[in-house]
Amino acid sequence: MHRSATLWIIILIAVTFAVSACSSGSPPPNADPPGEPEDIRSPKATVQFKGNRRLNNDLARALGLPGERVCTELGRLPCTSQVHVITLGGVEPYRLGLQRPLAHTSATTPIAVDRVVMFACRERADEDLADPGNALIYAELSITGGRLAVDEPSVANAIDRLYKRGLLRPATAAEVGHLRQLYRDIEATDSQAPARDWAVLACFAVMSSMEQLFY
Amino acid sequence: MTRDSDSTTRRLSRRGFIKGIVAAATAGGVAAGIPTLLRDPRRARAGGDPDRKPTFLVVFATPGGASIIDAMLAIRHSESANFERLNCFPDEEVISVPDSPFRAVDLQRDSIGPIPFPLVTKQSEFVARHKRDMMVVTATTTSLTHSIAQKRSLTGNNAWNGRTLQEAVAIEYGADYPIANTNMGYDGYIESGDDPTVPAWARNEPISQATLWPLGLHSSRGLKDLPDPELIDLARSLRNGKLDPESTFYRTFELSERLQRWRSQRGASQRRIEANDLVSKLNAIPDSPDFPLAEFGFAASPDAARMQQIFPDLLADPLEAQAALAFLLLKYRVSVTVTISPTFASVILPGRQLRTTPLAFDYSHTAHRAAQAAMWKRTMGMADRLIDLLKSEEFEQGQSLWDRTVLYFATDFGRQKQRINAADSFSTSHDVNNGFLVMSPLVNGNRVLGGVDPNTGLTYGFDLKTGQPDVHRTTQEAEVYAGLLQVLGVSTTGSGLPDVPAMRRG
Repeated sequence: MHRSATLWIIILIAVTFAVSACSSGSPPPNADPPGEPEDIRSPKATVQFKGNRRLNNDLARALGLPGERVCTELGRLPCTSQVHVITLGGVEPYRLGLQRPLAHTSATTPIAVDRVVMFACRERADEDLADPGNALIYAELSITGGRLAVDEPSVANAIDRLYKRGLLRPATAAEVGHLRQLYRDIEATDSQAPARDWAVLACFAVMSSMEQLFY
Repeated sequence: MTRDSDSTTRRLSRRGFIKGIVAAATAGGVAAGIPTLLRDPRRARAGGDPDRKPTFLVVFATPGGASIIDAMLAIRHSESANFERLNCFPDEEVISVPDSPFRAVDLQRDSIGPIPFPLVTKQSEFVARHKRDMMVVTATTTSLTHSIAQKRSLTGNNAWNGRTLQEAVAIEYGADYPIANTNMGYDGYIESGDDPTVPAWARNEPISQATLWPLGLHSSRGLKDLPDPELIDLARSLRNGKLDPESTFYRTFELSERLQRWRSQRGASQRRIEANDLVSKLNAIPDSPDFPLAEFGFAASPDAARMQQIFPDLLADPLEAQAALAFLLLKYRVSVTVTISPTFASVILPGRQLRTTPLAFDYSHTAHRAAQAAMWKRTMGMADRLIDLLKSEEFEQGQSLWDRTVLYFATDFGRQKQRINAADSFSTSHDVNNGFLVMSPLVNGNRVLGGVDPNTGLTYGFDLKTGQPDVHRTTQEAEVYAGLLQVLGVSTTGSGLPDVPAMRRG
């Protein structure tokens, strides 16, 4: 009886090992096939809109601009601290009695964001293109007659700098490809200065992305 | 094939090319499983019938407590056994308006309390002119704290899950409007409601400066030396259609309600605002060294000259700018509800013109009679001009905008009824007992619903169905709220709100 029980235990262990060995050799039927993107969605998905001050500060830092040069309306009115304060999630405790930021972005928030980012990107692009030797982002670009040699590595480097300064990460190959294609699309129009237009708009596309605006 | 046509074949037309790119990017977005940027999901979520004609709501907030017994329900000395201890007026200052239950206070003072500015008011002109569209609803509210009371005047003290009147109107009629609910209010009047089921597009769009706000309604107009708008569209399409949805950030947080709202707002909603050229249509301010509009490429509204004529101080007087913008928002079908309001900041123009007293109606803490008189004058004067404008603008088929508008004078609360020794200048605190002025061709006009006891200064209520005065009841905030929504034709089915036919015309 005792020997019989021992035998059964040995058989059970052997079967367990065998099953285990088989399992490790092939994926379980429900596993994602190799190369398929995994579901990385956060169930909590807690993000916040940056709001007027963070937006201004982050753009100033990313684009190397003094805070007051990030955006003005009519040449003198600060966008994020005066004209679009509430729209961009700020408060107006004294004038409006609005002591808390809006709980939600409003219908005109995306427009205000586009204006602010466009202004700041124009500043950066024009400064870089006017003084390529000291360019912060658009350095070493090969521009002839207003046209950009878009396939040169310097373009990828400029895009990478945009991402690193704005989003604090390198650009992916797909993102570099998309922004190169943006240039080709611009050049295919009758733009008189496609390189400059691209420099402004590539910056705009990245700096007004959700990854830049929410945290 | 000619040389030109050959050239054209090689080089796509700019507009066609860009349209193709934008369409491809949009289609790519759809294929990737993201919401289409062209379809506005409002219709599916709106509660209203899309074919119904809208009724517009203008909330004219009167912060600080607009006391109804300092206007339409004023009491004469000779009518009160307690006139020495009660907020009553010398008989000659209370005007009975012919063929109307309303009274009006016409008075003249050398100063507004300690402020040495002269004051002359003639409420009787306003009341005589508009009495048929005026209705006073007496009420007893529930808070003596400004911001709380202000919000309750809009939610009926959370009568409908915390939904504001403006949100209810926006949901009912505003699905096809670019910015259904615009709000230039103050403190509690500019707050959103608390009903979480109200869709984002029906919540209020706060406006801090009525003069400058329209200039921000286009993402590139007025910014110098930018790429052409068509090229900007290319960049936006790339961002919205590829960079954003493919990013690890978005794929990680795509379940966020905030990001989904952002996608919706940045898609069809944004394009609709820009395509309607609201940046021009709503721009009523004149070109000047302070506002060099032309230099920056801004165009003026076709109505700018008229607005500047009717509101000549709109650059210096925020309430004039608000009233002008309110009219334009309704005229150009941008909003179905607009809120305007003086703030607690005084407005003083050259020539010793005190437009808004410090703390608005709340200056009654210092000088009740003069503060109320000055602020009622301010309120009625602005309402008069706004109503005239709305009457002058056709809605359709011979109806004016005014024929379809309700003007609700929301206020925080009433004021204390007592004074000492028949003083002409006295201070008052807050009191929940008061009443609201509502104006519209749709209301039970030329009526006071309820009444006032001349010996206490306290208002009493009315039968909600017949409108007969009832000295044994007071009107609750929820009843006023329900009655207003019903005047506006907003469906309140399932809300549990009472029926208040007494507030409706006919």
